[in-house]
Parts: sequence; C-alpha cells; structure tokens
Amino acid sequence: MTRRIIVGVLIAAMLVLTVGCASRNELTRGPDTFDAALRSARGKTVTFYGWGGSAAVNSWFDNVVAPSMLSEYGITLRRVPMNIDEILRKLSTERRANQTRGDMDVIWINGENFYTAKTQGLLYGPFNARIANFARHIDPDAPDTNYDFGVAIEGMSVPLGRAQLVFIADSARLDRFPTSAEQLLELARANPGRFTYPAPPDFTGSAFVRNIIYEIVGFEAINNAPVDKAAIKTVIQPALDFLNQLEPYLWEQGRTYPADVAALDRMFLEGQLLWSMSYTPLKAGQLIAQNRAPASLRTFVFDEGNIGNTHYVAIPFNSPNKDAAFVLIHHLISVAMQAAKLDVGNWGDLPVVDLERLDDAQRAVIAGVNIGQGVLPMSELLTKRLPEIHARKVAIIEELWREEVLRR
Amino acid sequence: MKAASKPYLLAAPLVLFLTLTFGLSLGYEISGLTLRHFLAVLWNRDFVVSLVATLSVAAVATLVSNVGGAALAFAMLKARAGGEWVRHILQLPVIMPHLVVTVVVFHIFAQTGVLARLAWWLGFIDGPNQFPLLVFDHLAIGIMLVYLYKQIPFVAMVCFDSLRGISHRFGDVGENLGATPWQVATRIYLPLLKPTLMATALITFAFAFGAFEVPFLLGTPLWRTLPVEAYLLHINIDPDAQARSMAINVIIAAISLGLALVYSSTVREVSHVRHSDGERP
Repeated sequence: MTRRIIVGVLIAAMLVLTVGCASRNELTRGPDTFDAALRSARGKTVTFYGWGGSAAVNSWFDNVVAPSMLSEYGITLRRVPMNIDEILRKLSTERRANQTRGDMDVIWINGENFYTAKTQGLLYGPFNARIANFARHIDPDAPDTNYDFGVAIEGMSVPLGRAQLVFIADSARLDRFPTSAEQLLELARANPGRFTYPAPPDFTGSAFVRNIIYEIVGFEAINNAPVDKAAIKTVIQPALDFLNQLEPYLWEQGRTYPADVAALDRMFLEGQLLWSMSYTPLKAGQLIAQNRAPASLRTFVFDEGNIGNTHYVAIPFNSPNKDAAFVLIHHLISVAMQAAKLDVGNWGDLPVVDLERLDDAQRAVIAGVNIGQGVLPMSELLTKRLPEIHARKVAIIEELWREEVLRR
Repeated sequence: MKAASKPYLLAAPLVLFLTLTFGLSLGYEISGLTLRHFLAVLWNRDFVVSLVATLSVAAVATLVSNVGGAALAFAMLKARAGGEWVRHILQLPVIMPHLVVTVVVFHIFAQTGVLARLAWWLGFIDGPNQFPLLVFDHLAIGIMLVYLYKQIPFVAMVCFDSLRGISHRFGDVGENLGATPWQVATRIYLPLLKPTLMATALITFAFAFGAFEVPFLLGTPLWRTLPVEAYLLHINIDPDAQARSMAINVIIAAISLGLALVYSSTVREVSHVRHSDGERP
C-alpha cells in the first residue's frame, strides 16, 4: 500500500514538473516610444542572456556596458551566461506553458537560432524602428539590417556587431598568401601537409567550406538553390570536387581534419601548419597583443571576398522589462559602446554603426580605436564581405561535406 | 515503512531522468508522441557507425585492461610486491580524473607533444607531420591510452585484493600435486577470480561505453562515439535533432541496463558455484 502511494506521488510529481505551472497574466506591453521607455526604465534591472564562453566578451559587458548603463540611465545590467540553444528551449517551454512573465529582457542571437525563434513566436516585435540609435546610426538599406542568414528580420532584432571569416598566416614563414581557392590549392601542393581546415560542424570550418562554395560556384548559385539536399548537391558539386582535389595535400593527407578551430589554432601557433582562420576578424591582433604569436602575423581574405555574418540582439516575447530592454539595446549601438567593442583590448568586434551617418567627432572616435597589429582595416573587410546563405542550407552543406569529402 | 520506501526514493532521480529523456525521445513537447525519431536514429548511417565504434572501443578497452590488470595482480602476488608503496603507485592513476589524464595524454602523444619533440631532438623526424597521429586518430589510440592508464591499475588493485583473500593453501596443494605455476594460475586462481573479473569488466566496459569527455576531446571527426553524437545533436538547434539526441540517450541507457542485468544474473550463478565449492576443502 505504502509503495503504491509513493509511486503515485512520484508519478504526480513528474507530471507536474513536465507540464510546468501555467500563469494567466497578461504579457508586459512594450513602450510606444523611445522617450516613454527612457522615463519608465529608470531604476529597473535589465537581464541579458547570451553565450558566456568568451572572457573578452563577458568583460566588455561587465566592465564597459554595465557601469555606463548605471551611470547614464540608472539601469542595472544583469548578465546571465547561457548558450543560445538552452535559451530558446527555455523560451519555447515558457511559451507552451503560457508563462507571460519570463526572466530574459534581451537575448543575443543570429542565424538559424533567429529563424527558429522568429518562426516559433518567441520574440517581441517588430520593435527596432522605435530604438533611437537604430534610426540614427544604422543603415536601413544594408543587407544585414534586413536579412540575418537569409532570414527576413522584419523589425524583430537589432544588429550588435559584425564578424567575418579571415585567414591568418605568419609573413616570416610564408611569403605569398593564397587570395583565391586556386592559389590555396597551388600553395598546398607546394607545401603538403601544412594546410587544413576544421571539420564542419565546427562553426569556422563550416564557414570555410561555404567560402569555397562561393569561390567555385558563386554566392548567387547557392543562394538561389532551393532548401533541398539533392538540389544543393548538384549546385555545389564543383566545390565538393575542389575540396576533394585539395584533400591529398592537406594535413594527414586529408584522411582526418582538426575537430575544431581551437585545434587548428594550436597547430598553427606551434608551427605545424602555415595558416589558421578565424571568424573573429581581429584575431591576429589579439594573438600578437597576448604575446602568443610574433608581430609578423598577417590577416588576409580571398580577393573575391570572405563570408561574414552579423550578430543581433532581440527581446523575448515575455520580457518583463521591455522598456529597460529598449534602453539597453539603444546603448549597445551607441558610438561609445561600439567603439569600445571594436578595441582589440576589449573584444575586437566590428561595429554595426554606419560611418556615413556619424558626425566628424563620432567618426574620429571609431577611427581612433586600437584595432591591433597584423589585421585588415575595417574598410577592406567591409568591401570584401559576402553575405551568409539561408540558415537551413548550412546544415545540409555540413551533411554533404561529411558524406562527399570526409568519408569519400 | 522507512526501509520499504528507501529504494523507491533512491531510484526516484533515475526514474525521473529516464522518464523525461524517454518522453523527449518520443517527441513529446515537439510533435506529439511518435516513434519516428527512434526510427530516424536507427536508420541513420552515422548512428550505426557510431554504435559499432563505441562498442568496439569499449570492448577493446575492457579486454586489454582486464587481461593486463589480472596479469599484473598475479605478478604482484608472485613477487610478493603488494606493499604500501606499490599500492600508492597504483592508486595514483585511479584517483586522477579522466579529464586530467586526457590532457596529459594529449601533451605527451600529440604531433607537437613531448614524444614528438624528443623524436625531433634525437633526429628521428624533421617536423611534427612526420610523427604518427596518436591522438585524434581513427584507430582511437589516444582514447585507448587514457582508458588503459586509468583501468589497468584499477583492475590490478581489485584483483590483487581478491587474490590475497583466497587462501594460498589452494595453490600449495596444487603445487604439491605437481601443478605447474601456469596451471596453478589458470586452473585454481583464475576460476576463483572470475566473479571479481566479471565485476571489473562490467565497470570498465560501462565507463568506456558511456564516457563523453575522453572521446570528445581526443576523438577523430571520422566517427564519433554515441555520447558525443548525442551531444552534437543536443546542441543542434533543430527540434527534431533534440528528440534524436534523447533517443540515442535512451539507447545508451538500455544497453547499459541490459549489461547490468546480464551481469547480475551471471554473478549470482558464479558466486553460487564458488560458495558450494568453497565448502569442500
């Protein structure tokens, strides 16, 4: 008898835990104007959820953004480190449980995750037109203002920063840098075993494979291809053939690949490889500044351009302090914060503010930032910047790479 | 009443975890209850490769560490080397966390590691690429080195204690009757050691089968063990991948549970035999 009661209680407890508690409150309304947000947000705490895996990024939030939020707007910034997949899982559970008062006010998001969040109704908005600095500093016609990995933004997020795939080599060890796929093949042939790339689904390795696809078949061809494995395979077949042609000259004759970009970096810094790559465009400057690499390190991209993406901030549907979220986002895209973010001593992330929209004093602030040694100037990165393709094609390409290149 | 409820309370966290995992793997919360995620996993080539690889790695690690450990225990018994300091040396690998051993193995056996540098210094190789790939390799040598370093001393310690507990008179009688040392070891001590070896084999197999961090850090991208595969699906944003990840977890749990059942029934049999034998002399 006792057993049955205990088993019953356990089952009941499990059901309660699984279903979660539903609350019947109304969602907090977002502010109608930015001025209203400024007034009502004072004295509140705003909670930011985002990836916390980088000490530099965390330090920028905690030591630059948080103190200035408090002194300029009287708002306390609370940062909760959490991976985006967990954030979205938490939000979608809250959505199903009809929990109208969540814990997150601002989340850090892009790409496939933005697509999921937007299509599952996890975001508040459209709101970006109501952010004062968005209207002031952001170019409304820039591709990344309107599309995130090929997904229409429609006012649901605000760009925070820009990243771009770059290649890194040591000018003391390599006198000519490969600035096209063909040159890479030639150079790898001349230096067998000294080049390779991280195996997708590593983020950087996956971007490199897409960059090769752009080189060989062009951005338009893959961008116009339908989201279908067979169709994509037909379109990218020449690029897969190229990667297979490159393979025998790679590290370990391409029988295996470094599992992630950290492994690639280590092999490069220890002299085993002649190049490395990074989705952080100022990475070379960071390595030199940290004394992990010689000052002869140089950054380069392909002549036809390298893939770049933009990362964004958005507001969850059940944010309890949407007014404070408005102010935080406004502050994040201010010239001062964007300049501090660009500083290689802080984070080294490219700004999203449109230089043409700034006055001379603001432009001077951005131009005066220390971006470090051995890096490409922002102007060159921006002119050699290719957009990302639709998020759903990325996973299909990774699968095709495994089947057609890794396991061939 | 307290005693009656205790096992249920102890089992509750496990049951809760398994229920949630199983629920997610059936697509609960995503698409309604369905078995299609299980089918998707079972029909996937990556899963089959993964399952075979995981089982092979675990089987080889178990076989080598148990044979090696038992042999070491016999050698210690024979050499009467069961003293304090020998035990301390054996304890060191056992108490070292897997993560630490993984890092140490990496730094010693990588192409730019200690051994490679030594080989270069001695003039055997001209550069890191000539050093054989011993970590991240498709034969899982790096992973195996971690398991063996941890498990051989573990098996040896357990077997040695067990061997010491067996009266040496059995061996003396055998020798008196003309048995060779090999016969004494294989015909007398090994059967008596069987329950112990069954236990250590199960522990070593279960660990190697379910371990995540070692294959995650030292494995090749060519194939991945089941826990690594489950993790990569888990961090994939596709909701279907989430369900497939949980389905793999359920399969891992089912295989482990099956092993435990096989083990408990065999051990009961073996120890029964041993007890009835033990009363005769």
